[in-house]
Amino acid sequence: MSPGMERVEAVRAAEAPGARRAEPRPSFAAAFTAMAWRQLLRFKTARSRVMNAIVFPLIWLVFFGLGWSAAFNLAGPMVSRLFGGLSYLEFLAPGIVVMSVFTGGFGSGLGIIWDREFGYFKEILVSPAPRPALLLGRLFGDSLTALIQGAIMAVLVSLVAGWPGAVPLLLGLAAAFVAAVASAAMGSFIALSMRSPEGFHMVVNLIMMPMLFISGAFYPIDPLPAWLKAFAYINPLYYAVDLARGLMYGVHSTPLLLDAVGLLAVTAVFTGAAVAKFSKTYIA
Amino acid sequence: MSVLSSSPPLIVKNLRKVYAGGVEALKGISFTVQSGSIFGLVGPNGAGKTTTFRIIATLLKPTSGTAIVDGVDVTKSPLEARKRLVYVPEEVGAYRRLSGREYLEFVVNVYLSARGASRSEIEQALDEAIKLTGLSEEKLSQKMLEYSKGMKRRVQVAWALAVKPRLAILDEPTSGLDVEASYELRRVIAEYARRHGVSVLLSSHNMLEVEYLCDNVALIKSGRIIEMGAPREIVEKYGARNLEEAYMAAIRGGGE
Repeated sequence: MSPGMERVEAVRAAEAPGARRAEPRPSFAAAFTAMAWRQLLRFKTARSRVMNAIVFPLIWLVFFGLGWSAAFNLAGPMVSRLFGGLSYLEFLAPGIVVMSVFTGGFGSGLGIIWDREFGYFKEILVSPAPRPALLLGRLFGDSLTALIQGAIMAVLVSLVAGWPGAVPLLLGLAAAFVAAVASAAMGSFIALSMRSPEGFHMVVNLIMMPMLFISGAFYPIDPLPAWLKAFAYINPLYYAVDLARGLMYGVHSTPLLLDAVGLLAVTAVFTGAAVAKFSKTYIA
Repeated sequence: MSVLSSSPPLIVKNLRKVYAGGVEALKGISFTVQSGSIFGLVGPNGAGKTTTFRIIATLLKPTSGTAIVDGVDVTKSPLEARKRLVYVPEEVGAYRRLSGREYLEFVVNVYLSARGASRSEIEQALDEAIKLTGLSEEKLSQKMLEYSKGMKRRVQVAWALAVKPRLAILDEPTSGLDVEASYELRRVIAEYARRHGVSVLLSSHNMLEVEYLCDNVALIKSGRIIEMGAPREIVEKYGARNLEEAYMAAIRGGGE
């Protein structure tokens, strides 16, 4: 018997029917969990990202929020109507929390850029796990880390703007989580479409600024001209901020249910686009 | 899923790749890797080895031609193909923040559960992979960013073999390793091919290693295979003393 045939016999023996596998693990769930866990593990040591996501929003809240709050107080009772009876700080606070979680979520796209630079990306692309599981797991893991940042943010914010109550806060965070999934999906979609980190940063900055300003976080959307308002209605941030503000301080311009539906719908669309993009990704 | 089936682990037919911009990296190459054998793809830098590997690994789409892994066409059913192969690229990925152990758990888990493996099979493969790295428990609990290139490479090749794919594509597996580590790795690759039926497609710049390890060799230059056969045959054909001499003769003489 030639050496080749001997090897073949040896392998056949090892693969005999007796050696059957017991319970097959669902591969979608395994891939999803593994990816999500990996993203969380990365977060454990990425302190600079956490600091960034907390420090900047806090700076906004204190230097921007307190400043305007003081100015509006001078303006008198008209102001209350503008912000639905809330002080400007209370009006701004939910937006700051959402903003923190949202920008944290975009970091997911940045993660893809980094992974690609270091060759890790190839390994994921060659993995036999279903692509949707890999991307969704990644989005979920990144959104969870953004949520943790958001929770810290929410507590800090409450110290400045006033404690909204534990349940409203948690509900507000839930809305922020969905927005994080949306931003992670958007960031991933952009990262998968760009060739370079510079391109990614450019596009993200281009998109993020308008999204933040047309979200109702800093000023109410209602008085805006119709063409500008239209952008708000496809902006996941708008729904998230309105929902968070409604849940935390009771003021919102769109019915809460509509906000929730809008947020979930827009997030679903972005997530679907990112998954579709990733499923078709080749290196060249 | 059986490691053994009736289809050869790899059949490449008339593979062509033209990159955007007009660079013709592969001009129609064909070769077959037999079950349980080790096949070496060698050639100068830029000859098309990595392009070939990437196409087979479903990372790149070929312009024309086919690559069939265990009976599965990589362009038509990439997901099915991925379940049957592993690809260890030349550049080592950076899992900086994971420890060696965490990384192994992650990849072995993802890879094997996609093949429908049971919990105990995954545990077994994980233990196997840990053993194959040849690294101490202490080393394995350190973050991978602290590993040398050689150590990262050993970790990657370890899991690539431990999951017992039908085809393992290793791009320069011993590059950056010292003599001991190279020796160990070669021994392990040979063992997995001979005893566990893992077929290996590898590239290397070390012709003596290729001569020692490979059952068959294809020499690729400027996107074309200019020589193919068992190392012995090629050495005799050129009347050389070893594969390195034969390689030099072939490269300087044959092809464009």
